[in-house]
Amino acid sequence: MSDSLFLSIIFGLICLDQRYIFQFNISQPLFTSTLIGLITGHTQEAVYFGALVQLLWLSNLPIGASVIPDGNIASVIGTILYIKYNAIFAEHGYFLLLISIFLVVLFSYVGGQLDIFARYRNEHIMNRALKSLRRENKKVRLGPYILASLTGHFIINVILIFTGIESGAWLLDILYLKVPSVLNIHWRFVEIALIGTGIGMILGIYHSKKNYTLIGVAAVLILIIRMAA
Amino acid sequence: MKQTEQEREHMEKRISFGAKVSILLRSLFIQAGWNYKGMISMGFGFALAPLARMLYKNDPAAYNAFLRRHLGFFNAHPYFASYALGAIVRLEEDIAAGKVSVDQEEHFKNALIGPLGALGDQLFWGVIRPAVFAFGVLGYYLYDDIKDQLTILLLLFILYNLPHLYIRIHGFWRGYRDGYKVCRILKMENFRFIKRAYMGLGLFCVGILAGLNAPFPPHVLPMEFLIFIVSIVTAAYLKVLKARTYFAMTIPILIALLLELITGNL
Repeated sequence: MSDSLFLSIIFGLICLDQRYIFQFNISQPLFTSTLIGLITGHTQEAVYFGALVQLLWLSNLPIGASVIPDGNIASVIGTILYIKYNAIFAEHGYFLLLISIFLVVLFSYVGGQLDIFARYRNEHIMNRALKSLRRENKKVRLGPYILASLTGHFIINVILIFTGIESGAWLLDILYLKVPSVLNIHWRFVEIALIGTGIGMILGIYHSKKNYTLIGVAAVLILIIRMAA
Repeated sequence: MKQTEQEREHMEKRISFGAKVSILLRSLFIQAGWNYKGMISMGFGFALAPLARMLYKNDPAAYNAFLRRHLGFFNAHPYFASYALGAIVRLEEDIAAGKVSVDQEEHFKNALIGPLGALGDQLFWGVIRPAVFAFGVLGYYLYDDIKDQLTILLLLFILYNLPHLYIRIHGFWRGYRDGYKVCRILKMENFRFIKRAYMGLGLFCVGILAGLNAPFPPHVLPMEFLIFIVSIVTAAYLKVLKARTYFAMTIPILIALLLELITGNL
C-alpha cells in the first residue's frame, strides 16, 4: 500500500502536466510507463504496456472545452497493475492485458468526470478571486488562487491513481481465483486487436485519401521488405 | 518640450525585459485555473500580474480593476495564448498611456479567441502530438534496449517541445511587437511548413507500424490477419463517425473476442 501511495504522489504530480501546467507532454503513457518501469525494476513489461496504451490514446484530442478521457492517469494505473500482476501470474498474460486495458478505459472515464468536477471547483475559486478584487485599498495576488486550483488537481490525481491501483488489484485478485489459467490462450488476439484499434483510431483522425495513400505506401513498403527478408 | 515630457511618460509605461520573461514563465500555468465561466482567464490574469504591478504600482484600485477585467472570459489554445498575451501587454501599455480604450482591447481579445483555439488545436493536438508519439511508439517497437528507448524519449521530448516552446516564445514577442496587427499572422498558411513536416512524419510512422504489425503472410495467420484488419476498420469507422473514444477503443476488442468465439476456439 505504501508503494501505491508513493507512486500515486509521484505520478499525481507528473500528470498535472497533462492539462494544468507546462504541458510538455511528459505525462503521456510512453514517458510515465518508462518511469514506472525504472522505479519498479520491471522496465520491459512497463514499456510494452505503455507503448500499447500510447497507441490507443494517440487520437485523443482535447479540443476546446470538451471533456476527454483522462488517458494519462488511467495509463499510469493500468501500467502499475499490469507489471505487478504480470510478475505474479505470468501464465495469465493475455487475460491480464485484456483486463488492464478495460481498467484503463474505465479509469479514463472516471478521470474525465473528475475533471468536470475540478473545472466547477475552479469556477468557485475564480469567483472568490473576483470578489477579493473588488477591494480598492489593497492589491490582490492571484498566486494563492492558482495554487489552490493546482492543489485541488493534485489531490484529485493522487486519489484517482491510489484508488485505481487498489480497486484494480482487488478486482484482479478475485478474477485470478475465478478464471482458470488454461483459458489464457483464448485471449491471445487481444494484443493484435489493440494494435489494430490504435492504428485504426489514428486513421480516423487523419481521414483523407491523400493521408491514407501515404500510410498505405509506407505499410506496403514494409510488407515488401518483410517478404524479401 | 511638452512632447518630450509626454514621450518620457510614455517610455516609463513600457514593460521591462524581466517582467516580460516573468509573464512568459507564468504563462506555463495558463490552464491551471481552467473553468467553465472564464475558461483560461484565471491563468491569463495570473500571467499578466507583473504588467499590472508595473503599470499601477501605487494604485491598488487600478491594479485590482486591471486583473478583474482579465478574469472576465478568455479562451485559447494554451501555447498559442502567448500571441494574445504579447499583444495584450502592448495594448495595456497603450491603455495606460491613454492611446487605446478598454473596450477596444476587449473587442480585440474576443476576436482572438477563435483563431488561437482553431490554430493550436489543429496544429498541436491534431498533427504534432499524434505524429511525435507515433514516432515514439515506432521507436519503442523497433528498439528493445532501455538505453535506446531513453534516447527515443529524449528525442521525442525535443521533437514535441521545440515547436511548443517556439510558439510560446515567438508568439509572445511577436504579439508584443505587432499589437493589434498580430491577427494577420494567425493563419494556418503561416504554419504550413511545421504542419506538413509533422504530418509527413506521423503518417509515415503509422504506415510503418501497420506494416510491421500486420500478421503476415495472411494465409499462414488467417485469424490474426482478419482480426487486425477488422480492428483497424472498426476503430477508424467509429472515429470518423465521432463515436465516443471509449466505444472506438473497446468495440474492436470485443469483436476480436467474438470472432474467436464464432470460429470455435473458445
